[in-house]
Amino acid sequence: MKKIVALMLALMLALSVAMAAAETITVAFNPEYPPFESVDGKEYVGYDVDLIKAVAEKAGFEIEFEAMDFDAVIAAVQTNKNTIGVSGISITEERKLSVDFSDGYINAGLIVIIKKDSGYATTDDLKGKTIGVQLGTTSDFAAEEITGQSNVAQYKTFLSAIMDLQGDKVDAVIVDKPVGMAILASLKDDSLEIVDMGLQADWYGIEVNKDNPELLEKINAALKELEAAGFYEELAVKYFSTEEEAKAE
Amino acid sequence: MSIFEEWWLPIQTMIDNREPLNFFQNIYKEIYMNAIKDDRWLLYLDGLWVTLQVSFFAILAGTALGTILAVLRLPEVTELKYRGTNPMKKIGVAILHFLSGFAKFYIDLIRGTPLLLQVLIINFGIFGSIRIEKAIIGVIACGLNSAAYVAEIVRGGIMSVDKGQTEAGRSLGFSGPSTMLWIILPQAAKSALPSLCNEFIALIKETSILSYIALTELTKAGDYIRSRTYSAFTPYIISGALYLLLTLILTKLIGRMERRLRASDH
Amino acid sequence: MTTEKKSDILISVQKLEKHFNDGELKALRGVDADIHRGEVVVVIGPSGSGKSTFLRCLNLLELPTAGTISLGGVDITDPTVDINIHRQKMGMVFQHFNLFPHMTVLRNMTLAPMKLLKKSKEEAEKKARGLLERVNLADRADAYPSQLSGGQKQRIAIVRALCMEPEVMLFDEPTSALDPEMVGEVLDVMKELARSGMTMVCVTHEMGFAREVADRVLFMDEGKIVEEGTPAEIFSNPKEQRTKDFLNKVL
Repeated sequence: MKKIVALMLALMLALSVAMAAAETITVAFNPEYPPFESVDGKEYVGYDVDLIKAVAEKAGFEIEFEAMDFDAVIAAVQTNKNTIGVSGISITEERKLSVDFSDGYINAGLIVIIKKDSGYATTDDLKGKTIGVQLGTTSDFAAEEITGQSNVAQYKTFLSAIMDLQGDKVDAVIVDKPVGMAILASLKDDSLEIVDMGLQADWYGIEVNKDNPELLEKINAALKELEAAGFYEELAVKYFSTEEEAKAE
Repeated sequence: MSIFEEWWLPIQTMIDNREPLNFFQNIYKEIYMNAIKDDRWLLYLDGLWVTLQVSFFAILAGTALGTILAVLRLPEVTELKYRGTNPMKKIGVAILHFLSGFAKFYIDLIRGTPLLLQVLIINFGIFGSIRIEKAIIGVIACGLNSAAYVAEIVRGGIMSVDKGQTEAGRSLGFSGPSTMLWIILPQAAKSALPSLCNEFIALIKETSILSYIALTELTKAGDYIRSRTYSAFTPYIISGALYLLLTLILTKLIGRMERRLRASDH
Repeated sequence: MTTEKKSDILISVQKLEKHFNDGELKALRGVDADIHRGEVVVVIGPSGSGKSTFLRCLNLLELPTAGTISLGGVDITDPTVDINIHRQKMGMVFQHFNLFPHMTVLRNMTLAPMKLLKKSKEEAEKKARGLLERVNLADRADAYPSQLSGGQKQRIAIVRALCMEPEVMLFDEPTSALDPEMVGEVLDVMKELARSGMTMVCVTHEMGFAREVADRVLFMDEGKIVEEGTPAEIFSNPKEQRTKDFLNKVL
């Protein structure tokens, strides 16, 4: 009897040690944002996906992806110490009060998508106009500055914003440059065009729970190594067809 | 500097220095960030106002259309026969039968598909290329949806009214529609009111789906603030409390209405 | 007899048939009858004899399968006729009163005159209060039906119909659903109405009422009028065997 109990205890101990050793980090993200993250068949692909895989390898932890709505990522990270958010998330001062961010890993720039016949060329043209964006993205913050909070139509996915632009319910859509390029290339809608109005974007960072500074350190160290090794440029070439401008600076 | 900011600054410093906050500091942090800073509480009120307006008009539209659908589904209409020879009246009866069939199809269709899909189809499909206020699309989508449920509730209410009431009305000389309007529907409304109240409450809460088409109603207001503050739950709790307030007021109003209608059965 | 028989015909029923369930059940099998102005006609007969169906056909609450009914010379079974206008001239009182439970007594009585005859509120209420006075219920004008006894309900139902100033009153077993002690008050109102010269067609089991008030009694059985005559003829000297059998059972 005693032997069995001892055996079971030993087994449990061994198991918990094993679990601690192969620490698995959950990556919360919204794979509806190509080329940063999307689903290709059954695989998750994109800039962020390749990046976090490389980071995990360097920092020595296992990852598993968990797809969810963009605005669910926040809660997932905050309620679980071992969940990180990698989903084209803008680093802002206010957000830093609730979560930690890694060093910024890309600033891809913002572009404006409009209907060709509207002829908007500068941000002044968009003052007071309705601008469609994805809620909580760097585009959202930029649009608010241009046209005021009440004129920004914030969608759960930016694809809805594009559809309402096609349907004339919004006057313009602001989105990350690579994302906008990718969607226009696949939509083949001649009535739309991309305008660069020189908008300032936020840096994207990896979102980490405030109670896990060790993990944050590991991630930052890995990011530094990858940057030094030229991995960011590699990813830019791979994912952004117009690599020159989209490159991380 | 307001008193709220004075309370906030030391907490901000603590967060910057990674000092742990105590329970009350944590609560104040949540309240400050999600309601006080940048007058964010106003955004909830704006959202509440939009939700209230959309719900109100959707309930009106849904009840009106639902009542019409309910009447179209009654045996008085489905089994209506015209024995005369007036061609106009013959066509009229044929149209009624068609509408009755359509009503059944409509109710099945609406009740059998998710509201979210209906909202998306109405926004991106039916009104896909028409510039129209999001709030109006919301009223249309929620009103059309609610009508299907109201129709079945009202139909049940009408069926529960004693047949003798119709006979009494008709024997006095009221036409079928007038009997329905003056005698049957008021009584049907009384027995349907509790179920209708349920439906109205459900509708108020379901307007939250309109955040998918970027209408800044109450849920969206919470989503918006959450996307700025990254507070996991506090904006939802504030929005939720306001929904609760709204539905409690509605329940109270309908309760009062019920009591007034019940004045007749002491 | 308190009313005199007048010769002009108000309602004329010819070859009236009513089938239910696609002819499976023949409730009326060729009924002919004339109702004269100012006449009180009582219809008696065993249950299932078709007497209620006959009465309900008179104002087309049941649509006849065949035959004609004319009211004041107009064939109301003609589908091009607006039956609603003609129903206004035929008041009906039901076994189960069928008062509108969501309205006060006064509103029950003024609704139809105001909506259909376009009477003003004052005019309609004045008329209603006068009628309530006649049936000793003036103090219940603001009560709801649920606050009334069965007998009171039926008296209200009668004056509600009278508010439309009908030319004929149809009574469908008006005392059958009443407690015995309340039958009298309703019959008194009906008797008073008969004395006032109202044309009445009553389906009832109250043989006493028939004997006292009726100008003519129709005995129905199996969807037909088997025998008709004055109360004296029918009750004291029935000719048909079926009438005799029925009267033996109920008297």
